[in-house]
Amino acid sequence: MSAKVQSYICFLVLVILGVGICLYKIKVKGMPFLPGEKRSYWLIEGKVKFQAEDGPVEAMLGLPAYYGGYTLLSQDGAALNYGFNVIESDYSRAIWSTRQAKGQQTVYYRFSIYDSGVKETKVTIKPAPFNSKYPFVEDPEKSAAEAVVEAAWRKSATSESFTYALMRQLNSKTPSESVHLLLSVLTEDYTKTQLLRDLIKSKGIKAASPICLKLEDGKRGITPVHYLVVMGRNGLWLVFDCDDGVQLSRQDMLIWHDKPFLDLIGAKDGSVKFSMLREERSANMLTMQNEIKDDSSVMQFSLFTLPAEYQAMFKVLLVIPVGILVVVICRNIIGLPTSGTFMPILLAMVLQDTGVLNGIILITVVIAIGLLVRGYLSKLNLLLVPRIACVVIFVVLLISVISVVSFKLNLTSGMAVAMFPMIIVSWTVERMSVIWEEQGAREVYRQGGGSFIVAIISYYVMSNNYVSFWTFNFPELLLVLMGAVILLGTYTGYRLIELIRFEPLVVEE
Amino acid sequence: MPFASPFKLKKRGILGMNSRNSNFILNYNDREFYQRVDDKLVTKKIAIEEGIKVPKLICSIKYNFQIKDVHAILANVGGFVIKPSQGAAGKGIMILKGAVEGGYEKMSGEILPQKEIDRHIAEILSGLYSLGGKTDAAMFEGLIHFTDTFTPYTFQGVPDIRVISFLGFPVMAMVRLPTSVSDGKANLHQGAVGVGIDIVTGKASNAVQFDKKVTKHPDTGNEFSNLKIPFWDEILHMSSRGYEMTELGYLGADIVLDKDHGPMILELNARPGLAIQIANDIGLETRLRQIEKVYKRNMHVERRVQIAKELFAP
Repeated sequence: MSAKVQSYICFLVLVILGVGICLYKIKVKGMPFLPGEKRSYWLIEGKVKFQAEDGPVEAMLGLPAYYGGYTLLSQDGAALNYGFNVIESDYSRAIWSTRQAKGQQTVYYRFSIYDSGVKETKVTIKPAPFNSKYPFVEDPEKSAAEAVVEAAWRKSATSESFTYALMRQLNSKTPSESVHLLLSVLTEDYTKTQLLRDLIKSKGIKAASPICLKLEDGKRGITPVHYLVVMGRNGLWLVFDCDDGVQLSRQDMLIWHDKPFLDLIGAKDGSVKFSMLREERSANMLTMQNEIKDDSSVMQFSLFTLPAEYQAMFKVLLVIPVGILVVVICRNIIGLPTSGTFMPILLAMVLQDTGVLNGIILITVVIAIGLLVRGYLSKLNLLLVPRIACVVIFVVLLISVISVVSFKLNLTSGMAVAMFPMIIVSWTVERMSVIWEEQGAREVYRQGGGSFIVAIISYYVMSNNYVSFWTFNFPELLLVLMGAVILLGTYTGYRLIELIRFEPLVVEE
Repeated sequence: MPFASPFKLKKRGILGMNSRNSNFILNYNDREFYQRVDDKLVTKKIAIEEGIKVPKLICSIKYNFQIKDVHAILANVGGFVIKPSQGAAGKGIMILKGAVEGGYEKMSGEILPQKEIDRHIAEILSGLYSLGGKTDAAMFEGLIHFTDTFTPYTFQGVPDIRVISFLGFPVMAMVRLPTSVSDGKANLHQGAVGVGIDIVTGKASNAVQFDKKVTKHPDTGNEFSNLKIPFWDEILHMSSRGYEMTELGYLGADIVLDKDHGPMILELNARPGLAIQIANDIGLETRLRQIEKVYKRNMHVERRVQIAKELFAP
């Protein structure tokens, strides 16, 4: 296989790998692709009230089985004098317990959910099996129920249309005799929702009547109600409000298990009321919070799991490849002369600390003074290594002086320059002076100028908001970058500069 | 700024830097043979083995303690040149007329004290001028007595002939003539004049300074149309044999003309520049592709030069 074909294959593999991991993180893990993207965030507070009977108390609150289109971010239920615990299982509960309580008690269960951008999956809700018996086992109710069910069944195709057909019959203003009979069995404990649930289940369709909470911004003191949920054709649950005979959006609906909602031991008269508040929050922050809990392998290697100071370091480190790409383009496609291959990137990193104008002035001043010193040192007949060492020491001193002076003058950017790689500057000084002696000042301006131009371009690219966001959140994009560099490496066309350089060769035609 | 259309350049067969590196240097120049051209001491050794003429080596040293011993040798040789063995782009070369009382005389007549020379040699040894800053050897070569051929076209300095050979075929040639602007140096980007030489006749065909066309030398005012290189066939043979000598396919040979010994190879270059195209006003890529087609293993030098002359006749 020719080298060129191999390069293309390398490029393809790297791009597919990089884009693949990136897409996985966006589509499956819901990471935001753009910086500054906002996502819905709900803060929900359940206020649990009960009367304690002067003794040990335990209150158990069932937790939602399904958070609508949202992902649980955090939960908390600390209450004064109560121990708080969350049991995570198929049937998750929050439990408050205390040895001694009397009279009116209030505990709060707070949780937050956010739009993680993840597509809904089928297995999001598992209502517990319904344990009450099918109530219509004797005539005349039995045959009435059968008549109603069969009538609806005939006129429907899916569980959705079946439910609608049943609701239409039960909500009809002129109910049939059978319906009339069925409605007469309803009590406070056996509502229309439960009746519908049982009728639907009689046909072997999964249905439940769990507690549901509709998310509405700014609502306070909401008591959750029972809605009818029916398993739809695609394995997702459909939510119905039986009294109004309409289907409700699953997106903004929290659904509990079809199990006791609030269980009290040593207390009575329990009630739960919910308040909720919606905010738009930075998707990045939300993902970050969630990722720390995520234990899938891709996310375990996420940089978010590192301590903050390492994260800051990586932020700087990960944009360097982008700068390298700029250098490759500037040198191989444009043909700008630079002194050393990657000196422009080091200069660009200096500029990131100091700002463009200050940085260029500082570097130029340091290099100019360094060159003068080096010029004098060469008169002392010093050998190469001691001479470079001398320049390094002088540059360190010079930078210290600049830092102190600029600090006294309240020019804080001078301080940052103390961070910059002094060895690089000293080495640049030495390099520049050798170029000066051997190839003339022209070369110094040419290569130095080229390096600065490339450094400034790199700086603007590297400090771009999007670039730092993408490299940090999707380091796998660096594979794509590597592919791009490999592809650039196979470019054998003319450089932009050569179009000018060789222009005299075509002018006569 | 005038831009040439890349399609027009392609049509004229102009070789670009990326194409040179990728299609020719990477393909035809094996890295392991680079040493043969990057280290001038090695070049000299294998050139002598091949029977190719090179400037006389007086001596070479590798260590600082040897510096004090070279003065005894240099005292009686007359003119000589100090060179770093692995210097790049003519860096660190010093030309001296000979030893005088208390030091050495430069070509300009200026007297350099001995310690100045010592420092320069020490710098060479410490690797200041070498590729990548490796420690280096300093070599001392006998001065070349240049023919008068180029006198009408030279401002100080040393003109040299650059022949690019490909797979042992001479493909393009030029003469680099120092000017006052280039400060006596034969470096084109410093302002030396590049004169394209016709492969068949050895006559000047075209000339440029700073990539702009010129017809006469800017300092001496002599027309280049009268310039013809003597010993032309010998020069072509010499540079073609560089292929057997180094096994490098894409090779630049720098050749000087000595009054007494004729053409000599000064140095070889595994990455010769592209300015030769401007000097000749001819694209290199076309010629290289032509050679790729006619190349056969073990072809004799005479035959190769003959084929090149047939292919590249104007």
